[in-house]
Amino acid sequence: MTVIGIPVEHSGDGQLDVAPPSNRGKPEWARAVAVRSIWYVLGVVVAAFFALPMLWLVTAPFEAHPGFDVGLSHLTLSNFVDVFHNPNALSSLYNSLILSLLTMLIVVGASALAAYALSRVNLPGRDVMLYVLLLLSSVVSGTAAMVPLFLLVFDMHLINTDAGVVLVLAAGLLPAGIFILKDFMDSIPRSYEESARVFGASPLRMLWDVVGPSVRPGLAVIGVWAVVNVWGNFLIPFILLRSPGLTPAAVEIYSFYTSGGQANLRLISTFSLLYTLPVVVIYLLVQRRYGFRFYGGIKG
Amino acid sequence: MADVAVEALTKEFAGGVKALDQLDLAVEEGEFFALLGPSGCGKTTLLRSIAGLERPTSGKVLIGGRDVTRTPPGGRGIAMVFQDYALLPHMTVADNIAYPLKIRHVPKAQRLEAASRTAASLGLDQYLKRRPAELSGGQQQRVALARAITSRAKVFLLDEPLSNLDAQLRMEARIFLKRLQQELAVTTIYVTHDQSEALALADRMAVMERGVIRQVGPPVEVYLRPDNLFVAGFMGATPINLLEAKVDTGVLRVGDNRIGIPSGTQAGLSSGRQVTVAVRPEHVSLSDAAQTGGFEGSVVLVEHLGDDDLVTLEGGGVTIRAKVNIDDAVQLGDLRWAVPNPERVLVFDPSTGERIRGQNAAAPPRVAPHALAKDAGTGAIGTAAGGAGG
Repeated sequence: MTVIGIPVEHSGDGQLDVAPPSNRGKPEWARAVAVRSIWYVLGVVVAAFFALPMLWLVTAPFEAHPGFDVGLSHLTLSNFVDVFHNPNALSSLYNSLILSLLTMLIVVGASALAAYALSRVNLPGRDVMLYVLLLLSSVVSGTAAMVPLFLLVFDMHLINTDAGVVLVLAAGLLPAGIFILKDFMDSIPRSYEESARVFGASPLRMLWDVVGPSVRPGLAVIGVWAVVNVWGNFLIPFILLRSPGLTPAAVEIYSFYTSGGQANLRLISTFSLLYTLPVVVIYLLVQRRYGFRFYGGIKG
Repeated sequence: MADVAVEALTKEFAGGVKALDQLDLAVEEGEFFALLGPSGCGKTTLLRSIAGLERPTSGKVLIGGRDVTRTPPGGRGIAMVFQDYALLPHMTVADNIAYPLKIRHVPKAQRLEAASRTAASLGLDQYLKRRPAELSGGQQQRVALARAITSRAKVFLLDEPLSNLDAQLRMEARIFLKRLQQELAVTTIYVTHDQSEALALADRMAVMERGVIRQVGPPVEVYLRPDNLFVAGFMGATPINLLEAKVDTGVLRVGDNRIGIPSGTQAGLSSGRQVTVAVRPEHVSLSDAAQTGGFEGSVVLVEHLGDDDLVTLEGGGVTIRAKVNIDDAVQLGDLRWAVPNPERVLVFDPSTGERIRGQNAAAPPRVAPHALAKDAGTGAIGTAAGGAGG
């Protein structure tokens, strides 16, 4: 018998032994090796499946003629020079940054205020409302609402503006943000705020001095999550932005074709690496500062 | 410093639960006042109403003679220490102590100086840079007190501040708290369910039950002369003896035994009246020989309390407990006489639960006006009954 590749010996009552006692030793051992080998091979295949694209992402930008294979036959930095000379490549990364940061500020600020109010004031139907909002939020910034969204933003005269994109994305992210932060805020002991209130603190001061610092990990999670979401969003900026000078990286990457109409792998691979790096850096920074562990309550 | 008064305070929670019912209370300036009662009696709701954290349904709260019923907590000149201390975990001890000043926009240097001065006076100076989580429970409690002191509040409200400490630390903290209060002479209202804390700390105390105050007075008074059976049963480390009795000419018949009518209550006791006699185990002594006014019985249970033994005697239709010295070496099955101290025997009306007193029941010193009125009222009934009897 084996449990995930580890042979388990059964001795004693012998009831669980499959092999007859006479030829016990060798086949048991051989089978264990065989099973373990199969697991390792499977593991390698699965790992390769995920690792190869990553590897490609790291090697292709430094390859003079990247194809769909992984390898470094002609090491070069000229791809980067090309990207920097592309009129829209760097500005699109900058656009992505602006959109992400603006959306993050709105999402973190508004969901903190909303979550605090919802956590402390017991409105009738509060939980149902939160769940419905959460359910609908995937629709708001999704494909289904594309046409009405376009019309709405058009009527607001926000087509081809950052504000239009930021508002739509923030609206889509807010319900989940509120939901998560409310949970964080629910776990703060009431006595913290009450003691501040007794000393004369206003609600905003309590939010700033007491609640905010206590839910800092939650705010960080929401912030990173908002940035990553906007950074990777293609659909909304694709629909709402017209001029090439405003498009973010996720949209810009679709314009990298050679004059022959083929995908320009040199540009795409190099740009992809540049596009990926900020997210990795943010993740590492936040991981170091807070760690993505689950916060199940705050101890005084 | 300021006095605190509560007038006809009622707090009804959603669902019709009355946590406070037409409650009157007056706490004098500089007094250490304890609110004692079982859980759910409304003592914490009363404290929170005084703090302004609960909005009363009706009635008034006055602090320093000013009606603050509609004033937000911050405008009442109070400081509160919570059961969990409510120290802000992300701030250092110094910042925590200085926090009330930060709310009042006192410049940083100035408020940190005030914090370190207060911390030094409470022996916390070496912990100023630490976070609350790095301190022991007793130290955290002192930080919470230091924060209350820096706020320069006129009234301290303490909500079970010792209940999160272990037994030994609690004794230390108790002494500390008492000395601090004496030094600051700040009006202090202290909520606890632990009667030993109330007895040890308070200048006066109130015993609460289901939203009403059952007795107000100095601890010794409440302990020795409870107004009613609830207070009698609630106070005391060991349960008080409650014995059914009938008034006979000049004596009380308890089972097969007779004891003298306690002095001062004769007037209220007409012959044939059913009463409840109460006497604390610590006011019952055991004797080897027959005693007048004693209960004969055999020892059925001996509980060791450490410095004392709690002995249960049964006989003559009566079960009575006595607290005796551990050296008495009482054995199970021994035949003894339990002799209540006649000075300490209390007589209650079993139907109302109120204590029956005579005309000369001495009014306890330093009692709030309404308590005096209540005393006078009961006295009048006693007089009337006495008149009828004579």
